[in-house]
Amino acid sequence: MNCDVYQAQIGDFVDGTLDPLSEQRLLGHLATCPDCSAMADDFNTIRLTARGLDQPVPPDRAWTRLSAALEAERYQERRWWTFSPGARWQIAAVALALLVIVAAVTWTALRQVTPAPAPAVVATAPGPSTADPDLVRSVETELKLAEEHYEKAIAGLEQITNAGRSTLDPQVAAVLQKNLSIIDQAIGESRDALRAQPANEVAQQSLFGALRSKVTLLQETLTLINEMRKGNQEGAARIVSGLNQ
Amino acid sequence: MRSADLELAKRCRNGDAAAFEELYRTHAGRLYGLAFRMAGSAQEAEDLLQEMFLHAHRKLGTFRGESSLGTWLYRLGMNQCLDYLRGKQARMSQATDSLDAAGAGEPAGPLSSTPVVIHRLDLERAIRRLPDGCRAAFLLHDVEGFEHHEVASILGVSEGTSKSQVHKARMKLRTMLGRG
Repeated sequence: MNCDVYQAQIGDFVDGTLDPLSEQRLLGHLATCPDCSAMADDFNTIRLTARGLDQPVPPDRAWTRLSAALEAERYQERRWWTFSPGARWQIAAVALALLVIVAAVTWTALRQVTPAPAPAVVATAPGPSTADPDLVRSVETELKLAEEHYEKAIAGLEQITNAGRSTLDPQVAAVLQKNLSIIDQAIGESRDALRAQPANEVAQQSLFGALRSKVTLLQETLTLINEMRKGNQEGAARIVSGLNQ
Repeated sequence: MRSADLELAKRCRNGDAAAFEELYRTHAGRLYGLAFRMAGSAQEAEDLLQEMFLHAHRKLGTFRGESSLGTWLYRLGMNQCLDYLRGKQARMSQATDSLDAAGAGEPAGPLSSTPVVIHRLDLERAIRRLPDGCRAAFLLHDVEGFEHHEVASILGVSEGTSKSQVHKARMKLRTMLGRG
């Protein structure tokens, strides 16, 4: 048998799934073929290193965002006419706000100017920012639209959270207000930077990062209000702990 | 094990929030890792993780216990990742037509010539440069530890295709890491 045949078996060999007879033959070949032996060693090293890679950990806010989105979906599933007109308006606003948020985040993530994944290709290709003013204007328009989506979502969420704010402990409300002020300051500074330099990518990313943070904070506030209304002290305490970080 | 999965799925479908949180806490870590290595950034991974679980919540009625709940979630999750990457690639090719789509994702050359040990960061960087299809198979098999029949089930391909995709990924990684 030639090396091609043996090399096709190396994957199963390093995985420990090669049948005993084939393994015996392969081992005999590896003892005499440095190329195939190197390939087997490399495959084994890659496999072992891959298995030992660190597991990235999702941030705590991922669960609070998800539970807020789930709550909005559950409200949508219930029959519309069982709710009072005021509740219907709030539910519609939350669902619409979440839909707009998901659309805006997806749109922004896909439309942001980011480096291409293969650096060698980027190095040889002309960049759009130096060659195409129409593309730059188009990107600016889309960024403005994405910003408007965020602002609408934030306005909707703010109205609902302000209506329920009396449920919150005054100290917690103060922490929330302080966090919101910090984010609003970041939004203001990013907007000032963009007015001076509309194509400033760092300022664009900073603005959308701050808008995203504001949406997340408002979603967490809404979840906290709901947890307190349900009397779930443990759930509320977890959210407050996250907000204080 | 399968009856426990069916019971948990049933509780989730019935609106048991604690059950859904249990599902999330059990599987979110590994799914986030998968999303992170497929999408390439923490923000995209977080957004994908949310989409995975929202989608799972809507589709729980279709879980019949033919596979484990974890494998079922991975199947949904990987489809979300691949759909997301297809959409992202379509938008990037619209914005930068001069890029050679066939070339994007191909290794640019060896990252290092480390003789014996592969550094984990080098491997992470190399994995990000794999084409989407064989990256998916490699992550599921070599990183997450699924068997080929499970990878095939998750990706909706044959076991033979799973093996050839993992082999292709290992060959490309070997080249990128300066060993082949």
